[in-house]
Amino acid sequence: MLKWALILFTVFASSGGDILCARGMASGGELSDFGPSGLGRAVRYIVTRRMVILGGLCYALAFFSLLGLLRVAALSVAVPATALSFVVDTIGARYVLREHIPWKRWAGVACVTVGVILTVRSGPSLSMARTQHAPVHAVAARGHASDRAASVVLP
Amino acid sequence: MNALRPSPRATKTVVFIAVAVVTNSFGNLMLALGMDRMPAFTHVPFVHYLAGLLANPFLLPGAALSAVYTLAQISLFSWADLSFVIPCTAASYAVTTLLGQFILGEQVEWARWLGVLLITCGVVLVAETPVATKPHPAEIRC
Repeated sequence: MLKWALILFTVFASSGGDILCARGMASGGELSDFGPSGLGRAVRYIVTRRMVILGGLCYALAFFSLLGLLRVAALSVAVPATALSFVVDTIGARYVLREHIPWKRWAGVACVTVGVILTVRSGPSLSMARTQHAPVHAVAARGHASDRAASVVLP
Repeated sequence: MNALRPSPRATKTVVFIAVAVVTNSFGNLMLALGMDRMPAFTHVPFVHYLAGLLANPFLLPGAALSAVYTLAQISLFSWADLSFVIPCTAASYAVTTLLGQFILGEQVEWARWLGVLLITCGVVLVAETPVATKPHPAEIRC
């Protein structure tokens, strides 16, 4: 239940950030100078746009939500699950940003959606992923067994 | 011959999407490795937990890679559609699943590989559409 709540929160915060940032950047001009001197100006240009700042706040919420999600779900489940934001993003692009979306994009989003359902519903449980199927080298890379056991307790 | 040559905008789009995919995939991997080394939040005082976050060798580099990913993606929004950029960066989901399987040792079942294949097909379909479907303001030098 908590896993799904975190997935939904991450998806909507991420999509809200995408839509706000896209609107903020599309209302300006096309960035073109990414050389050593232009890179700093590009970053300054991005971080001073109001809509992008609001979008950044949404990204921050999505980031911390993803950190929590990574503690209750395996990486190869948690990250593909957030691909649900493709659907929310595409609907937002069509009805909020008024983008024209060719049929191939809709078909692409449909493929991604089915792919997400497959990846999420076949995912292993936390205990299976972290204690039964992890080979020795992976266990070593993840730290001590007590850390893994403690990680089952939610923040 | 010039007709076969990709436009500067197309080249720029491919480069920025590649940067976004790589930094997002490795950023997520490092965040997962870092969080696995953290104690449970409820077991330690908040200040100790915060110190643990800052001292963790994976979390700050992971956050830095995530920041590069975010800036690359936001830059793409200045010339490309949101509905083009977001699905194209989905290639990172396939890369992340590969990293989960081969570096973290997570078990990835056949159905999830099929899901990754479908996501990849979706990315290919979207990549065949125009980068932008509505006129953008003139190019600027910020």
